Amino acid sequence: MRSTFVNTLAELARKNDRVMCVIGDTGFSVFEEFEREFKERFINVGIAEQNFVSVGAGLAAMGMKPYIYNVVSFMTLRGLEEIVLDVCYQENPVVLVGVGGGHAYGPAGPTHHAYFDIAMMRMLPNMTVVCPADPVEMRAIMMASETFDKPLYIRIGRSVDPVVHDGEISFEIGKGICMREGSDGVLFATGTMVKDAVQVCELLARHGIRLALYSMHTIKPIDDMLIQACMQKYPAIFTLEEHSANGGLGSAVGDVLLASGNTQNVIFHKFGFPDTFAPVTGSREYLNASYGLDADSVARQIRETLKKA
Amino acid sequence: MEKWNEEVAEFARNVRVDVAKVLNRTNDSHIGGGYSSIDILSVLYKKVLNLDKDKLKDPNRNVFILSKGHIAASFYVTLAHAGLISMEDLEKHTVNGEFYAGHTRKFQTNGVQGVEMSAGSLGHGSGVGAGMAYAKRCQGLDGNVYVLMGDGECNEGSVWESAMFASKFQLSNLVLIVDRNRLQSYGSDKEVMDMGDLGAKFASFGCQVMEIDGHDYNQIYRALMTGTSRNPAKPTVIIANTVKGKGASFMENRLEWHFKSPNEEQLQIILKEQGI
Repeated sequence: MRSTFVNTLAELARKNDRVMCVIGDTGFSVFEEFEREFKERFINVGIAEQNFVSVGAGLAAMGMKPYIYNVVSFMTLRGLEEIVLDVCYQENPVVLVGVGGGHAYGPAGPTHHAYFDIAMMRMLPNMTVVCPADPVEMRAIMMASETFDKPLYIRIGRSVDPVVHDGEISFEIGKGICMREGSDGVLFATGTMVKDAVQVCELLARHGIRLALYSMHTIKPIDDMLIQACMQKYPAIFTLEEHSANGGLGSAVGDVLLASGNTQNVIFHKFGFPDTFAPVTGSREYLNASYGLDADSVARQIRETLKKA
Repeated sequence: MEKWNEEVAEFARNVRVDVAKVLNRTNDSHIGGGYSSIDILSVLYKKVLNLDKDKLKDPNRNVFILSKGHIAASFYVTLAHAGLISMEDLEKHTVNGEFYAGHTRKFQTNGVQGVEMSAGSLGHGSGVGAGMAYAKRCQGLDGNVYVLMGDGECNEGSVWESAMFASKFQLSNLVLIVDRNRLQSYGSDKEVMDMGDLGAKFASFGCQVMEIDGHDYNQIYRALMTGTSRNPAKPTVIIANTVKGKGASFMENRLEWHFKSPNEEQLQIILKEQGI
């Protein structure tokens, strides 16, 4: 995902001389070529997330198109007030690219985990929140970002993320992508969990359960038309994300359900992190599994939920 | 006194008087830190920035950022006397349903014409200003970026992050002005958080530092003119030694004028002392 980011950014920078890249001393061995090619349109502001975000806002205010790249947890926590006041409040069209969504930096510990960023970013007026599932979606969002004239938060996983989409996709910010049709329920997944969601659907299919699957790359604005249509169509709605179950995709979908005023006959379950810091050290796969977020556990929980209904 | 000095003095006098009138009406306070900045604002808007309504859209314009956004009333009055907003608009200060908040809000986002950046939380102007200065450099644009900060604001770590950045990238078109009135919110800077020799601190971060009397128009003008978009070099930091409440005898160096606004009787004293 990281290499898709820098490659697509270079493409954009070649045709648009306002495009620039700002890093906060991250991305060793990723940006060297970009820096050589675009010289002053690449800046490393050092380990200083407040100034990192403010500088991005100032660049945008004075006509540049800055893509500011940093580790999710540092950028969205230390730089939060700057994101709120300098980017969102003042409507400066900065593209914030966060690497290390969820447990991407699992073994590094909770300082490097990203449990709250989606919740924080989707609360902010003027902010759009996108979590691409794979390099194909990442490329699509990057292409859409160039002319996107508002603050944009793109949350990616780690350096190498597997491809989920086989071929071309039809991508539009705010519109979920149907990846699989079904009849027994629908699973909305976002970002790095879409790949796991595909496995969940395959496991369930072996038990005769057919779930529809959507990649909800955009969490804000949430695709409420799609969610409302799914409420009519499916008896059960599930969400899956590598983020706290409070405040992320699940909450965004839940808000749409509640606002509809017609939740009586809908089964709704959010899969995400519990309200805790990771209690132990572990890899992404280990920690996700410890919360029941591996494909096997999610499939089993969905089966049990549907059985009870 | 040179003619331009007299003009600036007249401008500053009018601003002080109108600020007192506005704050007497709205009770929005922060007059002390406004009065300590008004001479700097006056030199900027009369002699340095060279702005009019049309120029505000010119990418080659000089940019002024008020980072100590709490002196919004003093800034609005300055903008009115500089012809960037109408004098009638001063009636709208903190009025329900209007755009004239107690802290400045950028024109393009429900704010006031001539306000280039929304402010209110301290320690943001230097970073945004540095980004703007870099963007100007990158696009070969003329014009400098001037940022007015408080000395209490320099308690914020973000100010020092920006100073490092501006120095590393040789932003000679960035001028940070510190209104060194030595009084912050809860006490003097020495009592609250003694920052010692601020000028030496900025110099050690790689900035070109000038320490001036922030009420001396010649010194203010000379210092402000060191900013340049021509050659990459050090950013400029002006430590402007000022008096909080300058221009009203009962306010000068009195902490409470961070919070109070002049009542009718005090307003009359101000008018008298300003020669009105």
